[in-house]
Formats: sequence, structure tokens, C-alpha cells
Amino acid sequence: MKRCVTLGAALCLAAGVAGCSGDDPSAPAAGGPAPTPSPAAATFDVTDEAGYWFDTGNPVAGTRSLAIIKPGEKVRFLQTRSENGPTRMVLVRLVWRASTPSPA
Amino acid sequence: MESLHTVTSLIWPSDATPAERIDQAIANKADHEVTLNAKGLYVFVCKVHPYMLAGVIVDDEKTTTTKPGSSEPIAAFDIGERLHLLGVTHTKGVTEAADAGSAFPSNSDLGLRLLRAFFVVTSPSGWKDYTKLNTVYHPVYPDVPVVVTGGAVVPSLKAALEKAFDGDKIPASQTKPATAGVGEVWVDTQYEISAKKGDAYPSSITVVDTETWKVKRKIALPDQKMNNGHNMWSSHDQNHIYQTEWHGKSLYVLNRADGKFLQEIEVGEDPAHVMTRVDTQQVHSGLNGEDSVVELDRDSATGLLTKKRNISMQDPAKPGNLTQPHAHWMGHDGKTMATPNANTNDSSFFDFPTDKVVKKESTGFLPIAAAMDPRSTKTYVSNYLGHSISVLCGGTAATPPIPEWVSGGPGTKIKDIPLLDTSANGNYDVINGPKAGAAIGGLPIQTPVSPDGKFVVTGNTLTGTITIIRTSDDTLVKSLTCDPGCHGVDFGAKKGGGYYAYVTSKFANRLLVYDIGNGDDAKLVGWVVLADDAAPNDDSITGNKGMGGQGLLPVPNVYNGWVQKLPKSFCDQLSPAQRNPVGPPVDTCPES
Repeated sequence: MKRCVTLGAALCLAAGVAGCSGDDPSAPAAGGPAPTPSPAAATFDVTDEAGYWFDTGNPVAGTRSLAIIKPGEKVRFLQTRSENGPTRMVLVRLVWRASTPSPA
Repeated sequence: MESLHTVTSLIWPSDATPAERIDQAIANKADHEVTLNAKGLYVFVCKVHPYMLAGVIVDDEKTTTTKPGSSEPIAAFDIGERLHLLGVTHTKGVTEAADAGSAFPSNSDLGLRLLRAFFVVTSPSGWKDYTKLNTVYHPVYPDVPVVVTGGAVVPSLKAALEKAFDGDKIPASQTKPATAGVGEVWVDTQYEISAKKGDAYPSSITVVDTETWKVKRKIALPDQKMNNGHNMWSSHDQNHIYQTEWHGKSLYVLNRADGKFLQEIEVGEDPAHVMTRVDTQQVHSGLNGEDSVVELDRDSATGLLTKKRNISMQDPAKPGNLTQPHAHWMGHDGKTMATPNANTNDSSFFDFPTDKVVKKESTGFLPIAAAMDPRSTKTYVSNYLGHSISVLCGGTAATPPIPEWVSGGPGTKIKDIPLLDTSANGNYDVINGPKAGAAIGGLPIQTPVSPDGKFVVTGNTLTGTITIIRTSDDTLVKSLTCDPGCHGVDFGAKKGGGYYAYVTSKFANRLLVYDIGNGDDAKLVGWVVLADDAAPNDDSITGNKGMGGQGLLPVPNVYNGWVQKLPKSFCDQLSPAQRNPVGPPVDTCPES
């Protein structure tokens, strides 16, 4: 991931914002345990949120919808994170439902 | 994430193989992945909600440049030599083999225009905010070097985009139209965030008073979710507003006078647009994630709705893939309906007397909105990724032949009107941009016909323009500057006579008011900023204030067929010609 991290950092630095370029956020931090090969170099979470419909979670020059990868790498688009439970949208809805009287 | 989507390759490098592109046959909730090898820019889009964009740059680590005056290598990002754009340079199925020779150079007006669109669309901090009075508008771009056609290095993408497109100043004050409108304009400010619903369920309705040209009310429906409310229509008596939920499943019924919630009814996946049927007062909504238009009956006493049936938009003789209709249009007499089928690149023409689809005609790539002329003799369909307007025959199966018909009858295509014509005699040069003096559009969306039938006005997202088509010969005659993400268009009455074209934009917070005049003298006559913290509301607006303008609804409804159904109190506000836009003037309004 050296190149991706380098480019991501360069892009983020140039844009004056924090974050990387769309690497899978589940990837382990450098210096941690031996990394498990990531299934995708970039992951977009599909959401209903204005402007962040394909969301890497990593802002780059204002957008969270841009990823930088190397040739031969994989990109994933997650409409469900079923392996990790409901999406954050559903979670918000559930919390909202629990705290809100039923509509008339 | 509540609604159905697709992940579809929109832009890719010319040397990318079919395996490096993705698409799905229908809208879905599945996960998707693709491995990308060819270096360059890839953009993915949702065909249901085509403002949803994802960008990926496949970058060769050996691609570097140097800072001016330095020999130190720095990263430069690969945009690609030449790119394909679905619907323009690649007009086959997404994953079919592409002709590399038809791809366009990345170092071009089209390349820059598409890059700018990507950064504007996906960067809420870069949306055009008209409350920032007297400041220069600057979208947010990355200040990085990129490598384009022929290995040329653009030292700063930010500088290149700003030089090509930006620098205009937000006006210091509002310009109000000199002549008042009649009634209100309801605007779906689809991207506004409100306190109780939060980021997960954007959208509110902003009601504008056309007498004062001020925001009159904000309606967020905090006790419902109204997830991305997209489009509206009114009941014949103008007492009730029907509101769709594009990223959800519901229709909402509101009381027009005070904006209060009356009903939520679940109708199906991704209801996009809604209209009433003139002769029955039934309500129809295109299900953008399904195959049908849902039909609802209206209780005349309460105004509430009951789901009656789903009307399939398939050709009964040749059923195929799901049609996924977006913005349908109903005929002036309630006898016909036309749908733009976003998933099958065609338009279905439904005949109510025989209760069937009588024609399912190819149009262009990703048809998104339809409209009929006031006598329902022609239908206009905007092709979002085809950058064109298709003109089709109207009429009913039982109608005697009419002059507009071509062989084939109702629903048959008459012609296509290109808005972004890259041919030698066209209005657009891929390398250098719009030709001098040429009217131009791109990524067209709403496309209504004026109530008097003289003009079609279309909102164009890519070019940030409205285009005006003269219906007498179906010719593109003019374009005028709009705002980023130009989207919604609808006509309302101008006090004393004539009409205003009201226009909304997704990535700006103004309602624009155009006087179309005789076409050649069409002009912007004023605007209303849709962000207004002082306006009465049912919940506080906390983000994207006034942004996301999409569907809009002038009240009263002045289209032929509907205008004759208005209560006397509304009719009295109209001129004799407005009361009957394509027939003899009506001097005295009938009693309601």
C-alpha cells in the first residue's frame, strides 16, 4: 500500500484536508499486527446522504467519493454491510423510531 | 441506505476492458466490486439517482512530475489518454466491447467539464451558496498535478478548472421579478438537513410566495422520514399536495394551506414523480425502482389516497427488463400517459381508454423526464445520458390522425433534438467547448412544455443551462445560464398574463425565475434564495440550507386540462387567456 498511502497523503496534503484517498478503512494501521490482505483497495459505502452517496469516509478536497488505487486493485461498493450488521442508515432509523412517537 | 440503486460505469479509460466495467440489469441492494487495471479516471453512477457519483483514479506509481523550479519528483495523477463517456462515445451496453477510436481526449473541454461536475456534485462544501453575498464562488478542487492526453502534465487541476469555468461573483442582493407571479411555488429542497431527521434523511419543502418573492414556509416533516422528497403535484382543488420520496417507498399528502402532514402511504420502491389524472382526480406516481406506475384513488371527502393498482410499463407483446420509470406525464384530458423508462432507454405510451401500453419506443440513453404539449399531441422526453430530447407522437388510440403523427401513431418517435451535438455541424466541440453563439445543454432533466404550447424549457445539469425548444418546428433556439446542477423546471402564471418558467438547481440554493417571452428574448428576471432561517418551519434546518432544488410545483396549476378545474378563487387570479391557454379566452370564472 506504499504508493497508495503516499499518493493519498500527497492529495490530502495538497488539498489541505485530513484523511486518505479511499483505502478500505478496515485495513490495519501500519506498525500493527501482520496485515491480512485487504479484499479491496477502496470501498464505497452507498448512502442516502446528500453529497455522500458513494462514501469512502475519507474527505479529499471536499469530496468523500474519490479513491486512488494501483493498477490491478479492487474497488467495492457496499449497499449492505450485512456481515457487520445493519448499515448506519438503518441504525439511525431504528434509534429515531425508538425515540419518536408514531406518526399520526 | 433505504432505496434501490445501481452501480454503473459512466466514464472509463479507452483501454479498459469490458471486465473493468460494471452494471446491473435492475436496481438492487446488492454489493458490487470490480478490479481495475488500466490507469486513468473511472466514474461510476447510479442509474436510478444519477447524481450519485463515485470516482476512482487508477494511478501508476511511476507517474511523477516536478514542482516549478525544482527537480524533486512529486506525484502526478493519471487521468488517462482518452476516456469513454457512456451515452456519448459508448452507446452500447456498458460491458460490451468499446471502440477505442471513439473515445475523447482527456485534455479537452469535455474532460474538464466532467471533472468539474464530479467535484461539484460530490462536495457539499463546494455547492453554490447565494447567502454568501458579494463573494466569488469557488467550488472545491484538489490542487494536484494530473497527467492527461499525450503525457501532458497539468500542474494544478484546481487552477485549470478555475480558469476554465469559475470566477463569477454571488450577487450582493436579490433581484426580484418586476411583475408578481400568481400564488406559490413549492420547491423540493431535497438536500436540506433538518434537526430531527438528521443527515440520514435529507429533504424539506420550501414554499415561496410569488407576490413578495420571499420564502413563506419550510416543511421538513420531522415525524416522518420523507427520505429525499423529490417531486410534487396538487389536487384539483389545490387543497392538497402530493409529495414523493425518491429514496424511500412512500407518498405523502400535505395540507397546502398550512403545510401540515395528512397521510403517508407506502406505494413501492423509489417513487419519483407524481401527477393527477384530469378526468378522475386519481394520482399516479412512477416507481423508479420497479416496473410500473402506481395508481391511487382519492377520497373526495378527505382528500386521502388508497392504492388501487400497479400499471406495468412493459410492451405487452414483448415484455422485457424492468422499465423503472422516472418522471411520467399525463395527458391534458386524462386519456394518456407517457413514461421515460430509465432502465430500458425507451418511453412507454399508455392509453387509458384501452388500458394498455400502445407503444414502447426507443429514445436515448437514460430517459429521465417526459412532458406533453397542451393538447397531448406530442411528448417530449429528456435523455439524461444521451444529452438530447426525443419528440414522440401523442394522441389516443381512438384519436383521428393528427398532423403531428408520423407512421406508427401514438408513442412513435418523430425526431431527436441533440443538446450537446459533437458532430461537425453541431453546437459543441469536444476539445474547445461550445461553439460561439450556440445554444447548449447536457445531462437534461425536467422538460415541460409551456401551458400555451409554444416552448419546451429544459434544465441541464452538466452545462448549468436551461435550453429552449420552439415547438412549432421543434428546434433548439436558445440557452441561458442556470446554476450548478440545473434540474427542475415548471411553469406558473405571471400576474396579468403570460407565464414564468421556475427553475431549481441541485447544487445551489436559488429558485430562478425566467420570462420566456417569444423565445429569442427569453431572460432571467429574478430569483429567490431558498435558504431562510427566519421562515416559519416545522423543524430547524441545520445543513445544506436551501440546497438540492429538484421537483417544484407552482400553485395554482395552470396547465391545460388542470387549469379549467381550478376553484373560482384561483381562477379569478388568472387572466382570460391563462384560464384556457389553447382555446378561447374565458372572461368570467365559473362558480366552484
